[in-house]
Amino acid sequence: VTAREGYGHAEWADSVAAYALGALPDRETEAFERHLAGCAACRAELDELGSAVAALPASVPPRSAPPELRGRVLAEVGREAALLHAAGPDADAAPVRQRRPRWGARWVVPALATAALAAAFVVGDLIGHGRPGTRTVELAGTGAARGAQMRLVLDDGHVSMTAAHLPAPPRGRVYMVWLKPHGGALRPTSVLFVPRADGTATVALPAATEQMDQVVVNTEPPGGSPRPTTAPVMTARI
Amino acid sequence: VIRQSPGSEERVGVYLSSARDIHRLADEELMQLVRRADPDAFAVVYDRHSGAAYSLAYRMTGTPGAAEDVTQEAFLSVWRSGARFDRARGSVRSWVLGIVHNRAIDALRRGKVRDRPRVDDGEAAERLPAPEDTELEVARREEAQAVRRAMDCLPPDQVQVVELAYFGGFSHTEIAEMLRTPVGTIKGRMRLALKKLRDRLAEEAVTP
Repeated sequence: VTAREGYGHAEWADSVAAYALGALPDRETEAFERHLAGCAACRAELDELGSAVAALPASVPPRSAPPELRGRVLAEVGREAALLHAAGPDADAAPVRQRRPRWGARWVVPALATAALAAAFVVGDLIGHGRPGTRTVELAGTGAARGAQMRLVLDDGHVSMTAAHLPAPPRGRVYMVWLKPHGGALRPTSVLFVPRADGTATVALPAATEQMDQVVVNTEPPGGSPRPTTAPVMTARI
Repeated sequence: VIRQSPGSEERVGVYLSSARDIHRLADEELMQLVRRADPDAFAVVYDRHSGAAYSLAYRMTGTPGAAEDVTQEAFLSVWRSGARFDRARGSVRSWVLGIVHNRAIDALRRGKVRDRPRVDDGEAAERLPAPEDTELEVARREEAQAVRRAMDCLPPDQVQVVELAYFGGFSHTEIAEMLRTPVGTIKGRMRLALKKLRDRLAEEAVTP
């Protein structure tokens, strides 16, 4: 092993081209990327071979993208831009979940499908109760989720949210939790959930929630979104 | 993290004051605006690269519907993850096409379009008519010809593995089974092919 070659170089050296072409089997990709992180020799070869791969699309016969596609993409982007601007001056600076160069980790949530609804929760009041050091924020649903009750419990670094009478999200959607630091951007979390059949749900929130200014819930596609794509939801002030 | 040269922020701000001037911005400057959720800047990026994106998606998936899906997913990803564009690692076009390629491979491996009919590249239907001879279009056509010439110089067995891997979305083990050839040989052909391609393109001064 030389200074430039990372551990296991002999095993992986002949896989660089396959990786550059996207042709490593899924199970090998992650292991190769771990090797790549510590192997300057493989990174140098990847840079070299990657330039050839980047040229390949130019060899494809040109076609024009259908005009309807432009309309669909720009309409969706326009909707998201409006929501982001409505969500606050920093919302568009929200950090984005890193997708690995090839197959990124995806959030997995059960997707339930029922009647569509627009769920929104009004600002909750901070209620001090329970044992010392524990804070609780109550939230009430509005619109189609009018009957829902949600409660945020902040207990010395452990933050949880419980819901009752919460309707299932619209078909193909899940609930998603967002955090907004004071004066900062709306941040996506990995908290995606659907209520149980009886309308209850319990989810753990990141410990960082306690340092946040607001907690927001909306509905998103099952993988979650890096930026809000539906009405920015309610805001619970911590 | 926004990487930019000193003063470019002001320049972008100045350009923003006029919607028409946005068309004069370089891709990298447009991406700064996309990061700030500027839909007009995104539309310009879309218009510049959607043809190449759709062409690649079509070449890989072989059907207009799947190509549209892949292109749409890729551009929404560009919009939502603009902050991840790193100009030090290549052009906006290469970045966009890399996303398209990943999405198309995902679609192929999910089996959505695995049994697609092979695209006949000689077929004229739906092909783009010759574009206006703008300087950029001329440069792109020359680049395309250079890449095809470079591909033509490769031995057929090397072209085959590159095509199956990059455009077909097959893994090296699938290709090895298909061709009844050891995986090590397939990997070797891939490496030789890319090295030769890179050398040929360097001679022709093609920088994607």
